Amino acid sequence: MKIRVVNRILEANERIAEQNREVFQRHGNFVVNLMSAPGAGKTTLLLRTIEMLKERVPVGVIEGDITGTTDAERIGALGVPVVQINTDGACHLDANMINSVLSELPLSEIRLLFIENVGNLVCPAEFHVGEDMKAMILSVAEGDDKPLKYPLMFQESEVLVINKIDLLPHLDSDLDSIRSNALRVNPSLRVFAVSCKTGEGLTDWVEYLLKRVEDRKSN
Amino acid sequence: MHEASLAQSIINIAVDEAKKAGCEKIKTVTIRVGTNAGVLKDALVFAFDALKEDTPAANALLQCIEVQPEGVCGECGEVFRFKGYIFVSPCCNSPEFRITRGRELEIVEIEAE
Ligand SMILES: Nc1nc2c(ncn2[C@@H]2O[C@H](COP(=O)(O)OP(=O)(O)OP(=O)(O)O)[C@@H](O)[C@H]2O)c(=O)[nH]1
Ligand SMILES: [Mg+2]
Ligand SMILES: [Zn+2]
Repeated sequence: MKIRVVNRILEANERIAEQNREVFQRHGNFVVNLMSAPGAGKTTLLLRTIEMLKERVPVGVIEGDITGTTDAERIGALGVPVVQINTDGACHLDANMINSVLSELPLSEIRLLFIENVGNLVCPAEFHVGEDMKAMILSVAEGDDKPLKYPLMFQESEVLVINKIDLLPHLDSDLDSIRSNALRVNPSLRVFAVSCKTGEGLTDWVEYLLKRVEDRKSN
Repeated sequence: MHEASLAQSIINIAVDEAKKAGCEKIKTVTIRVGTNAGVLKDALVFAFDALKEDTPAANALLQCIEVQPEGVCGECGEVFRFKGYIFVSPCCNSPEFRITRGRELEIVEIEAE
């Protein structure tokens, strides 16, 4: 017997992402899915960002890593609620993994929830987890051609944070070509150029985040 | 890179659908895969074959129909085909275009008895 079905294979993930979204909405959480290649600076950016805004908005963090708890420990040292997911080899977080740790966070006390995805410039962009915003980091050391070679994450993201600009004097890549390549792939990207080391540019990014959280509250 | 979790979803969906239709053995599962879906066909088939054991799909064949990418220009309305990734439409060089095909990943038919 032939059975006709039209079934999107990622639909199971979409359904759970939708459930997560409902949970987040009920608790008034604004959720940021933070993605990048390994080492671009996700945890460092989170540490700097949380230091700057935790007095103004209650924050929580979900840490995704293939294995280990070092990133969650770094975040936990700031005194914010954090839960670690270990994907045991999977190259991305999916909606179900997020769903399974929701009960471990005090969601009703959190306004801004960060999800640090697994370090990978490709796969995480394929899976929605119920977030309000996808933000990605590209560090200047990765080279200015990356948006053209790995376009999907740039296309899916609302925000691009270009990190490690303190290193620019030592590199051949330049900020303008990173920015223009990224905008070629996604003309509506919001781009912030920062250094988590010197703190340059971080205020604009933090203010943008706070504004997005505010906008969410009022509608 | 995440072909294993996709293969697992395919098996789950196929087994569900076959059961709903009152079947016990799945012979083929046909899927449509856009060439821009970020999925390696060989890796998907390999994962499917590894994961299907001890399920009603144990002897099933995974058939992949490739879908070539297509887009519509927002400037002139032309429907065009393309290869790989593009950032402007080939007709007007415009960033205003919509990709209409090439990223699909869906099951279309299951043959079971
Ligand atoms: N020079 C410089 N180094 C930085 C900057 N931001 C982060 N780093 C360093 O880059 C390295 C990696 O940073 P992480 O924050 O651990 O990167 P990550 O993206 O969380 O890495 P994974 O979780 O492993 O994917 C660390 O040694 C940081 O100190 C920056 O702005 N400038
Ligand atoms: Mg990290
Ligand atoms: Zn993957």
